[in-house]
Amino acid sequence: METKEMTPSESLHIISSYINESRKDFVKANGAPMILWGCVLMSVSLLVFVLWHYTGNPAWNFGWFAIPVIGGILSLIIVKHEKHIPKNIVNTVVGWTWGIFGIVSVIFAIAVLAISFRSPEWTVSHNDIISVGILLLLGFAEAVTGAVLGKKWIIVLGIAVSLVLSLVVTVICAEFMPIIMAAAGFLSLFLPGIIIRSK
Amino acid sequence: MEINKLDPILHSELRLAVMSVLISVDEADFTYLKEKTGATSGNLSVQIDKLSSVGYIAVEKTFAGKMPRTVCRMTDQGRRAFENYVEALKKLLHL
Repeated sequence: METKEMTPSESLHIISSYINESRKDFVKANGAPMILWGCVLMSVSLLVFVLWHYTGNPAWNFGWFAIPVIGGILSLIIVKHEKHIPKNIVNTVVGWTWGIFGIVSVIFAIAVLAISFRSPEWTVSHNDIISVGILLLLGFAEAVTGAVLGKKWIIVLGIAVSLVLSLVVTVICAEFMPIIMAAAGFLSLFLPGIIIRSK
Repeated sequence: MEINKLDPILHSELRLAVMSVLISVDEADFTYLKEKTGATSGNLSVQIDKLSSVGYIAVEKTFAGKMPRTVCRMTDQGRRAFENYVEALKKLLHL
């Protein structure tokens, strides 16, 4: 690129093309973490389902707590290999949104488990409550991501997936709950991540 | 408004490109700016110095491990100048 003089319209074209290019980079950069966390959620969900289904031991549900550990380690590895994108308000807000989602989800699950162990007379399934709570939080985080990235379809998908899957949770047997979580991982994270990344 | 009254520092292709990249980010390193603008290292370095000398960007030289790293950030003064420049362009183009 030279340092030549430009007409006003050329100047405006340069400004808008660089800003648009940057925006595309930021949107695309969010694809990799979504694919990664989607894969981790799907894998752990299916593993919990298989182990619970074939052993009949609900203690395998503690396997859910492996998600932040596995996802965190893989994220650190991926960050080193991904193309460096500078920080701006878009990736800062998206990063914080998912970080807070992860922390709140773990705290919420622990809190529900603690309450259910403290109150044996509590007849509501803590699995149901945790699943619905996390599905709604997942939908919220995805909708915020869609809003920040300026992608309306992600907002709609996030809300629709969390609402529909939350309703499904209320009618299925607890043992099939991990399948619902795997579906949430696919629809809310993996699929949007692939679409964002491919554009 | 006449074209020769546009801010001469910004009314240059490479400097404007650098400022357009920096307006979208908190900060960017030399390598990223070089990749985005497609400029040569020497030319980019000269234009960054010009933008820095008028206070439109702040340049910080740090290290990433053992490698030297030059980080550029738009200043408030640069942001105001960029906004004024865009407004001036709009007036010239009757937008």
